[in-house]
Amino acid sequence: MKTAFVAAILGAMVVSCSEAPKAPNRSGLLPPIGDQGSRWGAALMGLGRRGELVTVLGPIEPNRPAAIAKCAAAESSLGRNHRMMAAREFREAIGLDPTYAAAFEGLARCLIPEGELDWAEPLLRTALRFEPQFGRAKFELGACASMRGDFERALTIWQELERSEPDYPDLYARLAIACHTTGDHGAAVRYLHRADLRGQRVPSQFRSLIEETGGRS
Amino acid sequence: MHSQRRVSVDPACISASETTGAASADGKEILAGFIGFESLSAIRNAFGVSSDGGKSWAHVVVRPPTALQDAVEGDPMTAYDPRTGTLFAGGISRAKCIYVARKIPGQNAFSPSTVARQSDWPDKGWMAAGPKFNQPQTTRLYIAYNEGIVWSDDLGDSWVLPVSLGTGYGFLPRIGPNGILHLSYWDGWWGIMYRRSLDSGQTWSSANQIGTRMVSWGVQNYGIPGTFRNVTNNAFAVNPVDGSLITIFVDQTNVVSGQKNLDLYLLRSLDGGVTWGPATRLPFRPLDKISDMIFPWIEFTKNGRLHLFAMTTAYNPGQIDGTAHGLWDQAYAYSDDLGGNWSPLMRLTPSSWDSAFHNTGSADFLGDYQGIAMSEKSIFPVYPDTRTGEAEAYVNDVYDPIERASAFWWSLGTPVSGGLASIHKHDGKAATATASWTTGLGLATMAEASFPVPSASPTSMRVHLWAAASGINLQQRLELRNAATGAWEAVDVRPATLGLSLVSVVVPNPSKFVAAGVVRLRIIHKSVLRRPSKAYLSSVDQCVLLVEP
Repeated sequence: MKTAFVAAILGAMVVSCSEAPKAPNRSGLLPPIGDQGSRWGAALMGLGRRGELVTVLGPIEPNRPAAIAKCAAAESSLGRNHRMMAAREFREAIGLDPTYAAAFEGLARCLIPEGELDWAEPLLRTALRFEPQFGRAKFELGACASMRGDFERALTIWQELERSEPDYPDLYARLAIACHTTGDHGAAVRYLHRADLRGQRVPSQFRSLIEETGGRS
Repeated sequence: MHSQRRVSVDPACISASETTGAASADGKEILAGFIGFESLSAIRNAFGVSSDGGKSWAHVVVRPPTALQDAVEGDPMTAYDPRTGTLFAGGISRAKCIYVARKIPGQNAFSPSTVARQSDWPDKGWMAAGPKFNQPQTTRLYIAYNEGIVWSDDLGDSWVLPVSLGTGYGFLPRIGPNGILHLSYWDGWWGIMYRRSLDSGQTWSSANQIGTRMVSWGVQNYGIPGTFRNVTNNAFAVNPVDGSLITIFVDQTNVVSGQKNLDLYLLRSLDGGVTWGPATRLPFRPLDKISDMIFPWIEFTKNGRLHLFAMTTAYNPGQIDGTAHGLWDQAYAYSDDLGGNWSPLMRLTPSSWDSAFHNTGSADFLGDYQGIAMSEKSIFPVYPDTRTGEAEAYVNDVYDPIERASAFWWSLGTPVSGGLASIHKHDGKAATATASWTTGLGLATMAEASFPVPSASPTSMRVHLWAAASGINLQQRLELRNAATGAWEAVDVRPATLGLSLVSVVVPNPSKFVAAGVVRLRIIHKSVLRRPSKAYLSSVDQCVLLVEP
């Protein structure tokens, strides 16, 4: 069911090889949808290539108000746990305005709990291209790294977020855990103190673990 | 504990995993559900079905109505309603519906399925059956799934529209005392979540994050030997004795020699979900050992014992995360104090099995959870195992051998304190009586008890007694009543002790003491020497039978 979920969400997203020749062959997963191709193609190059969105090709007439409204609908769907509907709505928002960072981030947010990190990360990087100080996208990019077990990379991303948005919710709790996992006891304890100062949600078992192990991971 | 038995007995099934279970109170009727792959493109909700207490099994596929069938039907779920004795089985038809069927009593068959909800994308449902809030003579059957919760008040024939439960994964409903409806789930990120309803599902408390994981991952493979996905659905159960709640979740504790270690963590509420204590790690792995536990499931039996089982690499420590051939087992443990202390881990599988032999092709699938079928006396963990070269579904019969007295009285002596409840647990709160002896030998105190036993011919029986007598030169006799002759036969005779001491005695030929499902027992303290009149106190702190049916 998981593969079908992704396919259904991205099913109308197209990479037309003639218009985006650098996209990989995903034709089995991504059927074409006509003249949306040129507008979508470049926006999706990042998805297919698992890298950054490079350039938006072709004429773009972004409709930001419509994209905002569509994202609001998507959030409402997500609030009712209609993830499929929410993902489709975020996807439609991307089509309405392929420069709207929140739409890319929202779609990523639908995909991350599904474990679809290969899809979510380029979406988040795309969001950050359009809005470099997008805290939520940055936090979630760090979360993707931690969900891969790459706590060094998660640390790098979250420390970058710390510089721009130190009060991001639960950031220091996550930093503390990431430091502990990578073996940096001193930093873990420092971040834990900062998390406590800000009343952030620190797992109780993490405190016990710090005490039990003296901070050794 | 009995050795494992295979329940996915249809040879056409090429892989079986993602298990669930339910059983009747007497344990005669059992459902062991699983996703059964008939091929890589024909996936079914299948159920091992037994109507003889697990001695024999049939493999029954339960499908939705024809118009709503799909190539992919999965997410099996089960429930048992104690009031009507009804067993339910159900599942999801991809992109079409959630459906339910009732087991036909005494037969390894089901009634035709009914549709609980048609939907474009139903996902992961779990069922619960029991009374509506404060209405003990009712039955409401609930299904909680990704879109919310639905219910039926006519054993599944008709259903209401869903009430949204907000965002989350793995909504697991449980019905507690007084019909309070509890719900555990995870938020897809780090949150372990809880809600409850005091009006049978119409309205809900706010989503409460009762715990937080240190590390999270989605529907993916993470941190384990093997390449199958290990989703982190919560395990959750309500104590029928006092309504306390237990949630168990998986978290990454540490990294040892580059290998992530996943452990089980417990959250406890003693006030029906209003407040929750901190998360504690279950004590099954020394911190420096490399091993994992995943897919936990818990149930309470009627006596308040908490049963846990999980998939584990504890019997093959030191494996590398992500290795193609993960060696796994299933293990069981129990707790009699809401998870404060645990029995040692007991291995359910005869030997480890290789995760690579799931036989689901590139899906690399061994399910997203496991389940337990539970009767009043036995629990049947249901789980996948690949020892035949493909994943098959198995159960063990893990029975609770303790039989507690249904009646207790002093036929000689003057009762001082305690009674029937006092002899159920060894807790220092004994049932006591005084007696005095006159000059000469003779009976002094005599306590009697009756025990219900589940079998007319138990294969073994043991008496487990904590007793004391405060006088000196007293004898303690433990006697059982012969069912055929009515005579009392001594099974243990020894000096009584001043302080409580344990007598644990195997009863030879136990069937001769079973009369109409009852065993009669008596404990005698008497003087063995001539003494002048003197009072003493006789105490019985615990007296139970351990019976293997």
